[in-house]
Amino acid sequence: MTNDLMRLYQQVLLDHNQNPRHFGDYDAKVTAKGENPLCGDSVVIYLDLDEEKIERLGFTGESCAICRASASLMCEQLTGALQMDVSTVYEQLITMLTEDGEIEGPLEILKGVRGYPVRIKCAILPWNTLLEGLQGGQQVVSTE
Amino acid sequence: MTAPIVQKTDFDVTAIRRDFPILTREVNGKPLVYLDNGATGQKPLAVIEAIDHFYRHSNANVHRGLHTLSEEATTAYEHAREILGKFINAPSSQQVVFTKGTTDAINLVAHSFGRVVLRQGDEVIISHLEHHSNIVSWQLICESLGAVLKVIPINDKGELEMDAYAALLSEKTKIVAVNHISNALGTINPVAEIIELAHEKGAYVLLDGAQAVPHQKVDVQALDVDFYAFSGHKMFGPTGTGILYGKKELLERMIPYQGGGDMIKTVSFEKTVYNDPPFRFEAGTPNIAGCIGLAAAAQYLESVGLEKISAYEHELLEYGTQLLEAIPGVKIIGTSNNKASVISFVMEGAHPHDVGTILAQQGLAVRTGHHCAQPLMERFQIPATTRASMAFYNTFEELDALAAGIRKVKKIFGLG
Repeated sequence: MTNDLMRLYQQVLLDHNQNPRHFGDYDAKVTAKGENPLCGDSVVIYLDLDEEKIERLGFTGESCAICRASASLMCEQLTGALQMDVSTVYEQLITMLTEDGEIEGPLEILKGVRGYPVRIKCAILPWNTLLEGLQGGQQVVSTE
Repeated sequence: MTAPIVQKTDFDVTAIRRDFPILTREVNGKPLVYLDNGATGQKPLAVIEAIDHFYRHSNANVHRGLHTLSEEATTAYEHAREILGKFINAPSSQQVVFTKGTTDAINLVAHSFGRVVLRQGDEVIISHLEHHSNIVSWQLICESLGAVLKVIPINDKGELEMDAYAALLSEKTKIVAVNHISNALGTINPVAEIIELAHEKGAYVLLDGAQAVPHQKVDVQALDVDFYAFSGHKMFGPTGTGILYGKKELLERMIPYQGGGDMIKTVSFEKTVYNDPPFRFEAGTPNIAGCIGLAAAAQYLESVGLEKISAYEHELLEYGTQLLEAIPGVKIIGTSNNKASVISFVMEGAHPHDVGTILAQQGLAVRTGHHCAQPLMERFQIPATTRASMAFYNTFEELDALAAGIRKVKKIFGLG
């Protein structure tokens, strides 16, 4: 577990934290906000849908490295994805973080968070925020 | 990596550490370096054994029975009250109320004293440094009575702006409530001056002493403070205990807080007569074993010597500050010249959450977050800090480990 977390930090941080993908605000059709005030993570998701497909996805916010990396990975993975596939990937991510599940592709690097239950809420904040946006909700999302 | 350690005070920390069994623990195969004393202190054997002894030999309910165990329990409990009274130099143990902690004590004063002295349009002054317990308690009572809450601003060093405080005081001010020592930054407030200025305007002062009593001698008579609140668990006593001290005439004016057994003299459906302080504010069966443990903590601290503790901790603070100031990219928040042994910092390019997690991996227990002081974090425009809070069982070597841990975080983040 320790090694997974260190691998997460070492590989992901030098990459997604310093050079986050899809980072920056733009004039999106849908924006959704997520905030975990107790730990100090905040994220805004920008979303453009083209019929059933996620045409464009971006984020901004001030957050810890795990939240930021998760948002970056999410935007990378889901840009161009079908809206209906989002919940499938989400469920796989949750299962990987909280149980014994596996996930393929770049998101696998988040497996290290499993050993630190306190940080799981950081990893899923961008995802829950995206889901709120997809459902047309207006609430500020929190995973605390 | 270690700087030359020149300990000036004659403090045998190795012997002290033997009194605290938990300090031999390992975390992730590394020795525990416990630097989260601002959150809660560890417990010496004297405290653990006092509680153990009570439950093994004298456990019974207090104030209620004639049998031997009940008498022993009552004697031990009231004796604990006397010990705590002497610990803060209260004129009488009858001015010492046992509470669940500092938060409970502040809420008690806000409710039971606030209701007596506050009228619509009156003012309560707190500060920008306060812990949520010393903010929300007053927000609640001010809202319900139509009183106004004023806030003393702070400067960039994390010190109260005393000129602004003096300007806030007026004949409308009824209560001033501030912390003695800031939990988030370690700032030691000029409480003597705060009290003097408040009294000149006829206002009452409550001090939140949660972070003070573990680190220095507190004399409530010398301070001439009206109310003093603190927690047991932060002064190396059990959780779920705390003290409210109040001046006699003020406690007598206070209305009941919770109703129940012990806080009454007589009960009938026509009229109930309340008990005298301190019992008036101690409804129900108290945390008897906890209070006995708390008295043991007070006696333990006195046996070590609070002046010695202060002096040693000051050396730790100076050493730790020096080490962290030498790390590029680390910025200490809270730079008053008058501080307790707390070092709160932020690191460029690394969120406190990540810093805390990586330090924890190395056995270093620090706290990250807003420290129940969101307005304070907002003032410094930061979401959170990483806080190392030292006690008298920490060592210079542990501070070396902290500095090394922080350098490792930087390396992992590719910050050089």
